[in-house]
Amino acid sequence: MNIVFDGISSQAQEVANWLAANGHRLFSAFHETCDLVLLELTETTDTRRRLEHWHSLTQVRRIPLVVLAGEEASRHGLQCLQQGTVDEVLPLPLDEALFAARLAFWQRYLPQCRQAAHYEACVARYRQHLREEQAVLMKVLARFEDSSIPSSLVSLVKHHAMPFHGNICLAMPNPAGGLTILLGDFPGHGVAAALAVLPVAEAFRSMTAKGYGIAEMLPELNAKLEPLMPKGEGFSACLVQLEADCHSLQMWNGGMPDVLIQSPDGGSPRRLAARSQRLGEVAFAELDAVPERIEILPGSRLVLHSRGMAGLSLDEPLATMLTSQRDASVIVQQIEGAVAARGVEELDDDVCLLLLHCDPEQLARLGHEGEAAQARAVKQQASRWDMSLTLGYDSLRKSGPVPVLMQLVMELQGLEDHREALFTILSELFNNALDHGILGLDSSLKQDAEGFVRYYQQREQALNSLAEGEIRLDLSHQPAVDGGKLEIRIRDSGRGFDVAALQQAGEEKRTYCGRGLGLVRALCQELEFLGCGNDVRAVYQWHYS
Amino acid sequence: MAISSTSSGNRVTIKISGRFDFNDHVAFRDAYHDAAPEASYVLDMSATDYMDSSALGMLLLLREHAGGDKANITISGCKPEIKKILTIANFQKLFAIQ
Repeated sequence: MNIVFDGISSQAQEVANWLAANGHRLFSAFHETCDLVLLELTETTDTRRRLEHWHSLTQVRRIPLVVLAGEEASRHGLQCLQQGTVDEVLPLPLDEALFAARLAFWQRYLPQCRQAAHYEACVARYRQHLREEQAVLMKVLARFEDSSIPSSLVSLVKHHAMPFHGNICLAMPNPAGGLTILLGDFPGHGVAAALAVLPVAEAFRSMTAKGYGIAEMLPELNAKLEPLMPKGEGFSACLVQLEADCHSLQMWNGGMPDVLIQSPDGGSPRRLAARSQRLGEVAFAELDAVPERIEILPGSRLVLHSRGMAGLSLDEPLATMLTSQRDASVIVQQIEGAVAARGVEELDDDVCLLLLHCDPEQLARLGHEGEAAQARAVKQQASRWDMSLTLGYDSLRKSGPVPVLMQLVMELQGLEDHREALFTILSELFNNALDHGILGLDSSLKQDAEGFVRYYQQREQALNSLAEGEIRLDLSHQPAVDGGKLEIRIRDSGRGFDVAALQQAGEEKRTYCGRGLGLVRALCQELEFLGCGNDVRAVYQWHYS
Repeated sequence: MAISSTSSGNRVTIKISGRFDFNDHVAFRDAYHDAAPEASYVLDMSATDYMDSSALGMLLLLREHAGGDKANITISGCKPEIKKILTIANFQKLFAIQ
């Protein structure tokens, strides 16, 4: 055997000599391929330090640690053996027959030690791999689950165990103004369970958005799941469809824990047990797939939860909590407390609880928001349009056209995210055309505070006495790659200006003017002056956010 | 547009709401005209929706009033679009923009 030997006394030396004479190879320092560590135990602090050192080195590699103990140290040696710090205590001085027998034993035991070390390393690698996989999985799941759950009506407690145990929770407003909910539990865990989440979440989402009820959803889900499920397994699920007026709901429960319904006028909650087999377990014809219709009072509260809740020790049963506590956030806190007491890392099943407040007003608000979001999305689709507006001198004397144009652009194209940029571009270009092209004002007046005031006084006077001239604004929009392209063209009837000279002047001095074109240039993709300078063209490109 | 100013001690706070453009030049100047140049100024632009280039000019006039390079002016709370305009104009070198 390859033995690491750590001992200095003469008795220990005797052992070393005997080992060498019997064909064992001795080493003084630790190395990965050694079979056994032999340490002499003495009653000094140095020994304790070395004991710890050897213990930590040998333990992870499953290399036996044997101590040699003379009479003084034998008690300590036995303590270590009892505590598991060492694997064997052999007495000093050397008893050849005993040593030979014990070393033969360790030699026989060696393959098991090596195998254990190998397995442990494999498991550690596997766990690390699993952790990484879980992290990715959780990210994917989060995208599928959480995006559309309306927090104004739904309070949620959700903790996934490691590995993922297949709990899924979906809630989404439906086009009829109600809310559709699915809380489910896939058999198995890890990637297999997560893979089944995707088709279910997708079917739930697209069917709810199209206005299908849970009665129509059940055959679809069953058809998707049946080929995926191992024999005798199924997807436990509870589907709820709350009507817009909150006077009734439809429910189907296949294999999930009881659903609780707490009426707003108090009393113990109603308890509705699962009545059907799980989805995907049997062919649809064999499934009791008719949702129950349940009358409720508006303001009722509904609790759906997964089996993992049973693993928590709550201060009081859920039903009692629901009766005594009106505030959903307090209930959530209590359950979160129980999860924390258990330890999130220690969960051996996912924990999922959904508390729904059947509040018709909140539900209506949700519907409006949904419609508004949909209308915005439609409006934002880049489309083709153009408009032309010509303002005569008497129109120019009134307030500027930019706010009205902006309103039109928002109505036609809904570019809310680009409102400020477009406003700046349009105002700067229009004001330039008006101030310099039509009114003939000179920006160099704005040299100081008085000049600044005088400039705007002159502007007002000139505008009031304006008797000729016009400005034409053309806006033209078309779809472009990943968004749209707006071309703005503003022409005035003025004399124009020396474009090159203005640009130079703007860069040379930094007074209280000359920043407008810089802003426009920075905000637009293209900016050019045409003709004699009384015709400007700017292009603004936008992208879907 | 709406411009209001309050002062406490040595500190003048000017709040600009809505659009900030050339129409405001008198109201904006009035908001700081009587304040001591060495005062510290805070421009609350949290409710400013939009500003044009003449508003940039007006900010520079305030800076001049407050002592030019010695001016102590903070622009606070601006929305991303307003901040973008200030950045394009390189104003972060002239004002403390929060």
